[in-house]
This record gives sequence, C-alpha cells and structure tokens, in this order.
Amino acid sequence: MSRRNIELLFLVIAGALSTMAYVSVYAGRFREINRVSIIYGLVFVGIFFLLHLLVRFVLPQADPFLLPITALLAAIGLTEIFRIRPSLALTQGQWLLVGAGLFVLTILVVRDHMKLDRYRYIMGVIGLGLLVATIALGTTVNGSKLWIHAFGFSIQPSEFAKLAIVIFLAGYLNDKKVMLSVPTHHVLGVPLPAAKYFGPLLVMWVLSLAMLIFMKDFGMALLFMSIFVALMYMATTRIVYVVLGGGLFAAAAAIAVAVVPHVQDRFGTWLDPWPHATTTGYQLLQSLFTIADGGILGAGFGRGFLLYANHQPVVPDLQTDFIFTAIANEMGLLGAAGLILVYVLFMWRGFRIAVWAPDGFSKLLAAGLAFAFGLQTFIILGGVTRLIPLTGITLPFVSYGGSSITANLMLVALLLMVSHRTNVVREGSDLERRRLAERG
Amino acid sequence: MIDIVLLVLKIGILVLLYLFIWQVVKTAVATVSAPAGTAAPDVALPEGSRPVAVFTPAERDARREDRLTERTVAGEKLDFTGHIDPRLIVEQSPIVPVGVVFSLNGWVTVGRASSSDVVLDEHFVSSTHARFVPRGSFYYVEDLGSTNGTFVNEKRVSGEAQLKLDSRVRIGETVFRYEE
Repeated sequence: MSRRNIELLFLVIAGALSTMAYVSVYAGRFREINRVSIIYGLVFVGIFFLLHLLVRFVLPQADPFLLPITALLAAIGLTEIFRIRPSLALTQGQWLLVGAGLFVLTILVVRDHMKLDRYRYIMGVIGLGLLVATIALGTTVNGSKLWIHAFGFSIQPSEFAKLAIVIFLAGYLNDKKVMLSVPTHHVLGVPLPAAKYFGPLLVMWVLSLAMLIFMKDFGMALLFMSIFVALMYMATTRIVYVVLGGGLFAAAAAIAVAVVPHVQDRFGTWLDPWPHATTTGYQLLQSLFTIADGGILGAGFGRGFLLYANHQPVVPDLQTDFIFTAIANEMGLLGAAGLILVYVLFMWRGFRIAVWAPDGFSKLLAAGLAFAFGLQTFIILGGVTRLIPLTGITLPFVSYGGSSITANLMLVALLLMVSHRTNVVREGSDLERRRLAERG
Repeated sequence: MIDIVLLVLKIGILVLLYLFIWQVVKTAVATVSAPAGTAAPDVALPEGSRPVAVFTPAERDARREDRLTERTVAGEKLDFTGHIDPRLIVEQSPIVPVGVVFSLNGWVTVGRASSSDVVLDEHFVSSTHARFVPRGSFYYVEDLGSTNGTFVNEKRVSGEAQLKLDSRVRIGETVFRYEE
C-alpha cells in the first residue's frame, strides 16, 4: 500500500472516532442521535481529506502517519471543547480552518524546507521579535503575560516564536556545530568553545530568563531553554551543554521562585496544594479530583461531571490548560493513557524523520520540532497531574486556542516537508520513476 | 436505550483509539525495512559523455615531472632541477583527498578565501591563513595572523618557520607533508 493510501486509511479511522465521540457528546446532552452529529464528523473528515489531497500531490513521499495522528488529536480536542462549551467549539473549528489554510500556505510557499536554512537569521529575528513584542505589548492573563490583543483577536506569539526559533537554531547550529564541539579554553575547569560562537546561545539563555521574569511564565521559559539545550546537544553531542544549560536554568528558576510572586505561588502550590485548597491550589486539586473521578474506563464522552448546574466548569480553564483533565475524566485512565500514546507516536514519527534525514539542517529541524512538541505536551500534562509545577501552556491540537492549533499545524507541515525530501533522497523520486516507466 | 448506545460508544471509542495506535505501530514497523533495501536508481549518463580521467597522485606526479623535464635529442631525460621540486602532499584532511599534491612555485597562499592559491574551506582556517615563501634555496611558511594558528611539526608558528624535508605543516585540520 502506498504511503498516501495508508494515510487515507488512518484518516478514516480518526474520522470514525471523531464522529463517534461527537455523537456521544450530543446524545449525552440532548438524549437523541440525529443527522447533525454525523454531519459534524463528515465536515471534520472533509477538512483533513483536503489536507491529505494536498500532501498527496505536493509531498507524495512524506510520512503517512503524522496527518492522521494530528487529525485524531484535533478530533478529541474539538469534541471535548464542544462538550465543555459548545460556543467555543465553533470558534475552535474556525481556527482549525485557519490552521489548515496556513498548513496549505506553508507547504505551497516553502515547498522545500532547505530554503528556510537561507533565512535562518531572519527566522531568529522573527522569533526574538515575537517574544520581545509579547514582553512589551502583552496583556496579563492568569498572572502570565503571554497574549497580545490585536484587531479583535488575542494571539499567543510564543507558539509561533517556537517554530521560528527552532528553524533558526537548526540552521545556526548546523553551521557552527564543529566550532561548538571543540573546546578552545577552560572556564573553572569546564571546556568551552570560543566566546564568539557561544555568544548567540547566551543571548538565548538571557532571553528565557527574561521570559521567566517579565512574562512570569515558567512553562514557556522552560520550553525555549530546553529546545535550545536539546538542539545544542544534538548538534555537538557534547553533554557539557546539557549540564550547563540545566544548571543555568535551575539557577534562573531558583531566582524566579525567590523574586516573582506568581512563580512562587505556582511552585508552592505544586509542592503542597492542600493549605491553599480554596485559593491558589483550588484549580490543581479540582483537576486531580476530576481525573480520579474518571476511573479506569471513564464516564464516556458527554457524561462526565465537568460542569456545575450553572454551566461553570468544575476546573477553571478546563477547555484550555486543563483539557487533559476533562479527557481523563470522560475517557478514563485507558483513554488518557491512549491519548498520551498518540503523542508518543507523534514524537516517534518526528524523531524517525530526523534520524533518516540526509543532512544536518533537516535532522536538527525535525528533531527540534519533535522535541518542542513533545516537551510542550509533557509540561502541560505534568502540570495538570502535579508531576511538575503547573504552567499555562497549551496541549498541542487538543487545547482550545487558535495560536496553538495554527502553529502546530505549521509544525506538522514542516515535518512533512522534511520527511518527503528525506524519502526522495533515500529512494529516488516516485514522480521521476513513474515518468521513466511511462517513457518505457 | 440511549444509555446502551452511550455505553457502546464509550467502549467503541476506546477500542478504536487503541486500534489506531496498534495499527500505526504495526504498519510503521512493517514499512520501515522495506524502503531501506531498495537502492536509489543509478543516474544514467547522457550518451557520448565520458567520465573525466582520474589520476592517482603518483601518476599525476609522474606526468607533471615528465612535462617539466627536458630531454635530449635521443629522448633521454635531462634533469637540471637539482631535485628541487618543492611540494606539499596532503596527509590528512576533512576536505581535501589524502595524497593530493600541491606543487610550490613562488608565493603560495593558503586560506578559506576563494582567492587563495590553496583553498581550504573549513571552519578552523582563516580566510588568509598562511603563505609559503621561497627564500634562497629554502621554503618558509609564514602565518598571516590566523585565528587558530599554523603548526609545523605540531609547534605553533610565530611569524615564520623554515620547512625541512618531511616537515608536517598543519593548517586547521589539514596536514601537509613538505617534500622537495
């Protein structure tokens, strides 16, 4: 079976699952099954079918699993948002369309991701610019300054900055990896490369520190710092950068905990939420209770206890940061574990693409994107289950939020481009082969 | 009735979710080994084109010497050079194939800049890194203020150093052997 037919087959499974989930939510609420709920599933499948057609014609040799995995996650997310607040599901559906549009645009405009290597510094400037703009112009929501309100929309620029910074780092580190992997002098017994190659990386560290202090957002700072450390390690294979980066970030985090009250609150709540059960710990404890309430098999879509009689969700921010809580409640331990496995599949495909990629830039780009995606997932899942301090970051494709779904669809587009090019280089172009066969 | 439907849906969704995961893993693992075995098709050369002849360094040396030496009317070789044929032979390098010979004739500059006589496009080579200069009957290597230095027999050259037979000159990660 060709790659694209595999993709289509799995999209059909994802579509069936999304339709069943929606029917379940609808039936749970209105005690009936009607055509509307089935049409919903068809529309959803339709969007991804169009994306599939684009990939079929433009990137025929791309990885066949990424798009169905994306569809599955988006389906679960959209259904759960509909379950919690139907009006938001419509908005999210529109954002999904916008994201699909940007996905198409990314593929048609970029075509070959190797072009992006040439724009690496522009990408770096865009990434930095977005973050600085957020620090300067952003509004504070839930204690963190992550949002910019413009033209009636609220945008979360850090989601897009993530992509730009990964592209920049992949290009920059691929170019400078030799210099960075050979130490020329020692500081306190730690071998370090020449300062001029190290400089831009210190800038990244200072930036993530600034994010921590000015945006008061531990999650995004951790994400950016880790992307940078992980890419450094992947480019140079020198563990000293991981140790140094980890140490520097720990130091920064310690300072932030001591200085920034918001981060301090989050940290204290994480260590022991019970004394703050009615104040700062309320959200986290409600989340834990709601997850536990789901049991092994869950209550079923549309049947969990997620809303009070006045339609307020039992956990504040249920449709955004705490969407996993809602899913764990309705799909149970099995469903939640399955969802995490789907994320693992996504990362597996991403790293697979990186391992197979024929050149350094592609490898770093794919690995960086897969890593960023996986770490973001880990940060929020760890947060809502009290494994690590809670930070407001979206669960990719599932959480309510336009910036998140749009940026992550662009991330998938980039991964697909890398994987298409890899397969063309490794096995020759299908297109070329077909043309040769036709000629005889 | 509706409760039964909901229960079926609940179980069905979980089953479908795990079916999806299992099938992705199964299909992906099954297709992993397949493409690795199929080699890329050979590139067909257009008819009439011939690959360029490739000489081993020794052959090239021989040809060059042949061209340079003068002969008597009878065809015997006459050697007026007194065996002075200064040259650099690449001993190890990440970019230049080992065994390549650069013959030294007058001033020879080495650097990353494409205007150099010997272009070494690697990270640890400065754009104008060093030059080889004949003085009397000896060749000297001069470091032109390079960032990472020029080494003769692993000793960093400050200013200049005279080259002797079989001196090892290292520039960046490339090592040349000097012969005359």
